[in-house]
Amino acid sequence: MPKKASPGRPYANTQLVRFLERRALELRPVKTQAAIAHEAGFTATNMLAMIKSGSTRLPLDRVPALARALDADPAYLFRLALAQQSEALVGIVDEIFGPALTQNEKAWIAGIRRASANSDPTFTSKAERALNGVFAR
Amino acid sequence: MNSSISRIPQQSGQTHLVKLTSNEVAWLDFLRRASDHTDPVVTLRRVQFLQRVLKR
Repeated sequence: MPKKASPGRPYANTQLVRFLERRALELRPVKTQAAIAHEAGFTATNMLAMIKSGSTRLPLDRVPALARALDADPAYLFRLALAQQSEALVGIVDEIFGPALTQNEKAWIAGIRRASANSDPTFTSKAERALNGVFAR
Repeated sequence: MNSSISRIPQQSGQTHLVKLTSNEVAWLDFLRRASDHTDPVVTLRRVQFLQRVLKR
């Protein structure tokens, strides 16, 4: 259930917060939140908790270290962190540098190329209707 | 054909440039929207769906 943003938690309803909740849960058997925060280099003991609750944004310069601590794709985490700053920024970065692919996205592009015999298939509304729901969690 | 250069992060932290076609950018955009930006893994079931769609 997505968190609701509130004055004290303006980033609660962001993809990054949802991802952190999910990933922290997945890592619980092997790593505590305190251990993750330490590995990510957060000097304030409650900083990760504040980011996870949506009280504060993930600073962009913390992305690589947190990605390593979470064993997450840094490109993916960076995009989520950038979206917390501004959704428009994500589009601007994509426009200037091209979309930074995650490892999973790279695998999807490779899969599309293989399945289509490198024919560069057009993405159609028919394909969209057929595939909607396949990728949802 | 329009293309877009994308960076793929590698294990070592280096990135490699990969050219995406404009069609592939559209597929990527759909993937992100349909998955609500959760970076879905490639699974056999999903690939089989994809293959069926691409063979139509």
